[in-house]
Amino acid sequence: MADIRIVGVGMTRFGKRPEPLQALMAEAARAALDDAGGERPDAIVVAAMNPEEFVGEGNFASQIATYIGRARTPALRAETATSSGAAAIFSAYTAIAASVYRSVLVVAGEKMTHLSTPKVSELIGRSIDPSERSYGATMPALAALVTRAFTAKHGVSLKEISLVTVKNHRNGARNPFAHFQEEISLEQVMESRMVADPLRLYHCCPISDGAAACLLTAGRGPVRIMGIGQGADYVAIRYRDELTSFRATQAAAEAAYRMAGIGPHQIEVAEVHDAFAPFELITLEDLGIYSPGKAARALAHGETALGGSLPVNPSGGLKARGHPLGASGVAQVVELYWQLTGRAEGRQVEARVGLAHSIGGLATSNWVTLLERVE
Amino acid sequence: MTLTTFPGYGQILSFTTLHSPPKGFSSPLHLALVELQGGAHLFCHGAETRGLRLGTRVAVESIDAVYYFSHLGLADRARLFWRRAGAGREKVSAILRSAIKRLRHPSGTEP
Repeated sequence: MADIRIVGVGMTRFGKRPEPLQALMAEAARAALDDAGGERPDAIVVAAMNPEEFVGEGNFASQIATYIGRARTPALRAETATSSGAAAIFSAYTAIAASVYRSVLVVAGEKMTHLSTPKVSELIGRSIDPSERSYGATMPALAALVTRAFTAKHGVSLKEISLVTVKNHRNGARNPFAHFQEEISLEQVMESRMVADPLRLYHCCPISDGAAACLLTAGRGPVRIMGIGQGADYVAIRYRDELTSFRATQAAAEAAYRMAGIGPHQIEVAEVHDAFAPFELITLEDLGIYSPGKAARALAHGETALGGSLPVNPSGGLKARGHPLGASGVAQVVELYWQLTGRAEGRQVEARVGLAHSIGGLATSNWVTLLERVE
Repeated sequence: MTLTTFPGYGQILSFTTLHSPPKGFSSPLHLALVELQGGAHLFCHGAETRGLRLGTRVAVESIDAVYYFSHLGLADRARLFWRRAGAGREKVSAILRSAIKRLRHPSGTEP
């Protein structure tokens, strides 16, 4: 098994940012390279879901390489919709595992807040099956269909689902990089504007700008990538066998656990894709950490809170840290790196093994990455 | 390729009401995922989701290649087509075609 390490990480604060996307990504890249000490990358993998339409830029990998002063370092872009950041880490991992490069810089970002909400929704909605889109289906609409089926199947209430938001905002309030750094109450969640019944505004992640980066190496580094796996499913949700679980997460987890030689019960901290609050519960069940229908109770008992037995989304998750689409998969790994190396000031948990989980589209291309502290 | 026909009714797998639908759709937009007898899953528009539950049996029909679900009565169906986007004349035409279809196939089966 390849011994591939992460040797440096960095990210911008997420939120509404005035800088151009290239500048945000360069800020994150510089932070990761500084953090890595002397190590310099042989190649760059860039992730952004849709820079052509969000910011009107093309040939994006070359642009970013140039912007960070490495115009002659080979660069490519990886894309799997909203999980593009994780795809970039995979791409860097495989290039190093194949001994093509010794070290690869991953830099991921997205800029969205300068566009109107309907425009952002339209651009994200392009990842939906065209036939379903022709009925007016948006990401919140599909998530609402999943949520209603999930609550009906397991008898989980919306109040229980809303506790995901409350927990993640409580964590975000301790994270200086988070988009939202305020706690919110259960009442605020339950009384927020209805978006797609039964999902309300505070069940949905915000529209954010931001970037994150990390340096992968075949050399020494404090955190080892134990396993990484991708899972896939039909784009059309009407073709799925199940609405209440994501096959793409289950398959990604199985591949990552197999590569790492560990199981779900060895995970000590997790960063998961809570683009919609119920997805955190569905994901913990798909990862095998809780059995189907049981994640809501674990949340209510505080097991997934900062001081619990398995802290989930200590960063605040997509809900509170924010979700600059392509950046999120890398931001999760940045957070885990900080958690595993004792640098998550104000929200530090005790952990040696961490899991990152990223969803692409409406769970058509999902990733699970397993990290372990080794030095 | 063989053409398969299904009965024009099924059961609700899940549903939602969108309060800020995309351009070209009027708010609120009622959407359902319906399983037809025979197993096919369809996205459908509807006039409302009040009283709906997972497993509720609904009528499904296709007008202008768009699927619609409705409670089984004629009035519900007329209201459904009245709400859809387009000129008044098109709405009336859709209502009439739906009614005629129902008269010709009273059992609820598509031809």
